[in-house]
Amino acid sequence: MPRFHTAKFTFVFLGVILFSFFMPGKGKAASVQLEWRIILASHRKGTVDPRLRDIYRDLGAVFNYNSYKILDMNRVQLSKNQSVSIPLDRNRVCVIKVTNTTPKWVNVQIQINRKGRSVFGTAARLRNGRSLLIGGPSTRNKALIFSLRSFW
Amino acid sequence: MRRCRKTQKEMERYLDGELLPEKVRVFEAHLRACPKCRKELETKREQRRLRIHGLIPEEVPLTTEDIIAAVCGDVPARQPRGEVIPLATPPGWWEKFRSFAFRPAPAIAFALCIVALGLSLFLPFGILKNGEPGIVIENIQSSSSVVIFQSEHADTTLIWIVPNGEDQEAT
Ligand SMILES: [Zn+2]
Repeated sequence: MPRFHTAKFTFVFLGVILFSFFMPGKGKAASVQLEWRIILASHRKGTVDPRLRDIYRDLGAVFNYNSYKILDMNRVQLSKNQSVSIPLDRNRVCVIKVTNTTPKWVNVQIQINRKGRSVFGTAARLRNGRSLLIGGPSTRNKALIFSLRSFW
Repeated sequence: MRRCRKTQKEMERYLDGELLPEKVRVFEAHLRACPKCRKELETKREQRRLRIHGLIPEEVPLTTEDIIAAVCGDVPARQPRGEVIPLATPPGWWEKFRSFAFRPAPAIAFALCIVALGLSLFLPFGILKNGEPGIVIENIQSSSSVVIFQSEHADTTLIWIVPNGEDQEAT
């Protein structure tokens, strides 16, 4: 019955897709994609970068800055125990290390070093797509905000 | 399924032997796959037989129970005169599943399941259950004081570093 072959194929195909959904370990990201943004917030008249749409409302709820500009933005693929160094400004470097990944969370360690000395460190768990922002201190009506998101 | 409706429309003409040969092939192929239509055809054929015997008047829709009652009750057992559809092979698991899954309700349910699964797995921002945070801060070491803000839906967490100077406010 050749007429049934299309339908049969469709079902087998759907079966394969479903199987891959329920495969053990699905979602247990072997590596995660981390996106960082370095944002300059200032009281100067300006605009908000449209790429900050996801966090602008939350920023607006806390600060009264007028302008949010992205100074640098990038994505990097990291596996467990891999790290990346991101220069924040002339003196400060941010080091992000992925310490663990689970289907629900990615654990990261964030270290900010100033002239080789650690000034800030935190360990946090992030869910897919949620933003962790680290900002301040503000100087002369400006502040640097570092934003980190993960995708997998 | 559309094929069922078409098959059922063609049944009278099929029983009258008026269906074109190529249509008969498609018709019979569907019957082999579809128990529902097969049963329907059997009912129609039974109705015709009873009508021939004069047991029921024309144009009276019969239920299967009626037929069984009529057959088991007054009618003397007799070899059916009508033609018998040759069923080359009994329907296998695939035909049974197919005739089940291609009925509208299971098909729609199946499609909805697939869509729901797809959404839950591929949405970049999964739907959080109430009260489940999107970010958990496990520890902080800082040479300065920090303030932590969390957005209403816990989608965003902000750690704000406060300078340790004379202008520092107590936090
Ligand atoms: Zn049918």
